[in-house]
Amino acid sequence: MAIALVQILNTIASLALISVGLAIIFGMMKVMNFAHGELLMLGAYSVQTAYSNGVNLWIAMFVIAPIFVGIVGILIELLVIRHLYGRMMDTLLATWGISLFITGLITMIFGNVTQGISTPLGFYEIGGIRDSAYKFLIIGVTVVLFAGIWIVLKKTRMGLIARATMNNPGQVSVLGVNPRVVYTVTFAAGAAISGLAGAVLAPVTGVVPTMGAAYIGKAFITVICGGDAIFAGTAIASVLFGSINQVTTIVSTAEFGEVALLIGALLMLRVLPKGISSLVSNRAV
Amino acid sequence: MTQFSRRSLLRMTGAAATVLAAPAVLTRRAWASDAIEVGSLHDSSGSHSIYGKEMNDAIQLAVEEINAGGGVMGRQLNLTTFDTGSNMQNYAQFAQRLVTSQNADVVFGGVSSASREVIRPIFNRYKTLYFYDTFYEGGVCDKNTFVMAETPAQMIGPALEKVVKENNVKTIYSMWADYNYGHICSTWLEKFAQELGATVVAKEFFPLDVTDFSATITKIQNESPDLVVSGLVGGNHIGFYRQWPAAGMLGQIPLHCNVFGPWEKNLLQAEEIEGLTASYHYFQGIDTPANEAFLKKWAAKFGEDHDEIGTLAVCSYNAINIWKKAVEQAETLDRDALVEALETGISFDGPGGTMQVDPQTHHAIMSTVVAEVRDGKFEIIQRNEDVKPLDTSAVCDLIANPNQSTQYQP
Amino acid sequence: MNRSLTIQLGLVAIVGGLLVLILPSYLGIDRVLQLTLNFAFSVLALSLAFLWGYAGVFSFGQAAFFGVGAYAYAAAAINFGDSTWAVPIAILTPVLLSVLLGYFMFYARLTSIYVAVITLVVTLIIYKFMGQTAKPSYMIGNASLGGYNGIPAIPPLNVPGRIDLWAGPVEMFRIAGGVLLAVYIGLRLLLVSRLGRVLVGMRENELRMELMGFDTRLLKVVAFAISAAIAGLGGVLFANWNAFIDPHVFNLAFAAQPIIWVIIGGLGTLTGPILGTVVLSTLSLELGTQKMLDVNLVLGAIFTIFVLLVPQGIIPSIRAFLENRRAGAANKPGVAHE
Repeated sequence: MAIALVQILNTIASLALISVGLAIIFGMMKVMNFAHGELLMLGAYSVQTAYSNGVNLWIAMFVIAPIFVGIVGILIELLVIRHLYGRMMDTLLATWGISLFITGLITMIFGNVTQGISTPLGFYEIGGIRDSAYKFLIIGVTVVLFAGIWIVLKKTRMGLIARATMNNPGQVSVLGVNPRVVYTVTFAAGAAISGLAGAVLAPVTGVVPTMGAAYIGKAFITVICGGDAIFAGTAIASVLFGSINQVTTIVSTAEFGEVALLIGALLMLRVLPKGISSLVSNRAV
Repeated sequence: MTQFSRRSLLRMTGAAATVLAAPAVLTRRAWASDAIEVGSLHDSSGSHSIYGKEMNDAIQLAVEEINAGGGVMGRQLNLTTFDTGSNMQNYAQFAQRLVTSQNADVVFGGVSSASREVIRPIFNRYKTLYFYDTFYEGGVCDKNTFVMAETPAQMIGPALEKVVKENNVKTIYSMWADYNYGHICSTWLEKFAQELGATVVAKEFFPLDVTDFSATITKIQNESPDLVVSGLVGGNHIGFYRQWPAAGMLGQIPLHCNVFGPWEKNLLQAEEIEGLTASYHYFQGIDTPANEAFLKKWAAKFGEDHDEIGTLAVCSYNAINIWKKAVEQAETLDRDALVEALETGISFDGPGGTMQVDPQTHHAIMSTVVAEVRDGKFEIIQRNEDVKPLDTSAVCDLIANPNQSTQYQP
Repeated sequence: MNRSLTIQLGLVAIVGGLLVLILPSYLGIDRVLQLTLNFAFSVLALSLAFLWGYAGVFSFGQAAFFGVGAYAYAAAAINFGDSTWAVPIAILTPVLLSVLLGYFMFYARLTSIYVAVITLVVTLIIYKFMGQTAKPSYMIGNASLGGYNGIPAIPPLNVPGRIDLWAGPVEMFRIAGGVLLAVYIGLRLLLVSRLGRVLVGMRENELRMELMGFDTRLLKVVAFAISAAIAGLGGVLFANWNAFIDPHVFNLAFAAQPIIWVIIGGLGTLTGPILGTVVLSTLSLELGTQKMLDVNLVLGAIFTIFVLLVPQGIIPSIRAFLENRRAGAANKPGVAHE
C-alpha cells in the first residue's frame, strides 16, 4: 500500500514536472508551444551528454540542463516567437516547425541510438516489495520547483511584473518596463524548467530523438485542464490526472490507465469548461 | 507585421525548387540500361529508424559487394533507396514508384508489420518479387513474398527451452507491446511454455507510448514468478529495462527478452542489463570466421566505430544473397522462374550461419543463437541449427496451394 | 448567385473535370497515385478551411472525422463486401460524432481555445482506443480492427450494386478528383447562400449575430457537422487509396497536418489549403529520396521560416502582390476574399 502511494505520488509529480514549463509559456504568454516535448528531449540529451563527458550527474541535471535549454529558449523567443505575438495559430505552426527541426538536428548529431543514464539512488524495500528510490527525488524536485514558482510569482517584484505584463502589457510599458524583455525572460524560464524536467526524467526512460512525442499530449491536456492559474491549475490537474492514471494502472493494466486519464480530462472539461482554475480564487497564480 | 515582399517570395520559391530538384539529380543515375534494378524501402528517419537504418546499410553493403564481384549474371545492380520515414503513406507511394518508374526487379523492405501489409499487395499486383527481412509475428503466406527473418517459433522455441531448463522455471510472467506482434507472440509463448511444463501466470499488454512501468514491477514482485518474459518494443518501452534494475530487481528474477537486440541494448548501460537473455538468428558476438570477415567488411564501409549491428542487418544481407543465388540458378529475372528457383530450397551461409528457403512457407529455416548480456555484450550461450518456422508451416503450404496472398492469425 | 461566380465555377468544373479525365493518360501510375492521395488530403484540408476560415471555429479534430470516416468505410465495406452503403455510413458516422461533440462544446459556450483542445483530446482518445484494439476480440462484424497495424485489404469503391465493377487506381484518381471538385464547388455555393453569409457574419462578430436573433450555438454545430461530413468523405478516399487504414491518422502529428496545410495555403481561402496540401505532401515525400539531410530538419525549417516570411499564406500573399502591382504605388495590405 505504501509503495502504491509512492507510485501514485511519482506519477503525479512526473505529470506536473512535464507540464509546468508548458504551463508557464502558455499561461503567461498564450503561446501554444508545440516544441515543448523537444525541450524536454533536449534536457535529457544535455544531462546525458554532460554526464558521459565526466560532469557530475547532479550538476549536469540541475545546472547544465536547465541553463542550456534556457538558452535555447531565449534563441527561439528572439528568432521566432517574438515576431508572432498575438497570432496564436502562427505560433502553433512555427513551434511545430521548431519541434521537427530540433528532432531532425538531434538525430543528425547523435544518431538514433544514445546510451542513456542508469537510474541512480538504488532502491528501497517495504514488506518484501522493492521499488526505485529515485521516485523520491522526482517527487522532491517537483515540490521544490512548485514552491519556487509560487514564491517567485507571488512574492517577488519579478513575479509581480510578469503577472502584470500578462494582464496588461500596455500599462506595464507605461510604467517603464519593457514587455518584450519580460516575454523573453518568461519564455526562457519556461524552457529552462522544461529542460530540468527532461533531465530529471532522463534516468528513468529511454533517451531517443522522438521521445518528446510521448509527453506532449499529456502535458497539453494537463495544462489546458489546469486553466489560467499556472500554479494552482497545473498542480491540481496533475494530482487529479496522475491519480486517475496510476490508480487505474494499478488495479487494471497500463492500457486502461492512459485511456482513463483522457476520459477524465474530457469529462472535466465538460463540467469545468474554463479549467480547474475557475474553481480557485482569481487571486491564485 | 511582416509585409509581404517580392524578394521573399522569390527566395521561398527558389529554395523550394532547389529542394525539389535535388532528389531527381540524385536518383537519376546514368547506369547502363542492362543494370538490374534493386529497390530498398526502409525507415532511416522517424520512430522506426533504430531498426531500419542497419537494414538499409546492409542492403547497400551487399549491393556494392555484389557489383564489385562482377554483378549478377554479369549485370550490375542499380540500387534505389528510399527513406520511408516511418510513414505508411510514404511506403505506399515509394513502393508504387519502385514498381512503375524504377521498374524494380526485386524489392527488399518494410520494417514494421504494418508497413509490410501496406506494400505487399502492391508488389503482388505488379508481380515484383518481394523480400521482407524483419523478425515478425509470422503467418504471412504469399507466393510473391519471401520472409528471410525469424518468426515467433524460431525466436521463442529453443530459447525458452534453454532458459526454462536452466532456471527450473514453473511460472512465467509475460509482458508485451499492445499490438499484433505482442498478442500473437504471447499465444506462442503459452504454447511453448506448456510443452515445457511451465505456466504463464500473467500476460500484460502495454500501449507503445507507455513509459512508466513501476506498477507492473510491483505486480511482478507480488506474483513472484520464476521467469519474466518481455516482449516490449520501441523507444518508450526502454523505460522498463531502466526501471527494472532501478527497483533492485536485476538478478532477482531471470528476464528473457523477446525483442532485445543491439538497438535496445545500446540505449542502456551495461550494469542495467547484466544477465538478460535474448534469441535471434544473429548477434555481433558470434565467433566464427564468416562473421569476422563480415564485420571487417562492415567496418571498412561504415567505420571501425560503427553502431553494433544485429539480426536485422544480417537477415537483409542474407536475403539479397539468397536472391542472387536464385537469379544465377534460374538465369533469368522472370518472377515466376525466380520463385520456382527459390522454392528449390536455396541456402546461403551468412555471417550468422546457414539460412535456407523453406519452399512450403517462403520463410527461412535458419540457425538461431541464444545470447546472454555479460558486461554489456551479447555472449552466445547456445546455438541451434535448422530451426523451422513451425508457426507458419502449420498453416501455410504454398506448394500445395500456391494461389495465396494472406496472413494467417493463430 | 451572381453571373461572374456562375461562370467562374462553371469554368472550374469544366477545366477541372477535363483535367481529371485526361491526366491519367499522360502521367505515370506513381504520379497518379500521388495525386489521388493529394486529392484525399485536400478534401480534408477543405473541411478545416471551411470550418476555421469561414465559420471561425478552429478544430483540432478534423483528422479524427477523417479517420473515423475511413474506419467506418473499412468496417462497412468489409462486412457488406460492397461499397454502396459503406460510403453513406462513412459520412454519417463522423457527422453523428460531430453533432454529439458539437452539442457538448458549443452549447456549453466554450471559448475557441477550449474547443481546440477538446477536439485534440477527443482525437487522442480515439488514437489510444484504436491503438489497443489488437486483440482478436475487437471486431465490427467480420472486420478486425487490428490495433496499431490497422485494417489491410479494404474493398475498393464499386459501381453501386455491382461489386464486379470496382475502381482501379486510374478510376480512383478520377473519383477523388471529382469529389475534390464537387466539394470545392459545393463550398463556394454554400458560402454565397444565406447559411454561408450567416456563418461568415458569425466569424466576424458573434455577438452581433446573436443580437440579430441567430442561435450561434446551433450555427456552430451545423458548420461542425458539415465539416465532419467533408472530412469523412476525405477519409473514404484515403481508405480507398491504398486499401489500408491504421490509427496514425489520429495521432498528434497527423492531426496537425490539416492545420499546417491551411495556414501555409492561406486561411480564409479555399484554393490556398488545396495548394498547401499538394505542395507540402509532395515536399515531404520527395525529401525521403535524398540522404543528405534529415527529413524533419528540412520540413521544420521550412514551416518556421514560412510563418515568419509569408504570414498570410501563399494564396492571400500572391493576391496581395498582384493587387499591389495593379494598384501601383498606392498599395493597401491585401485582405483575402473569395
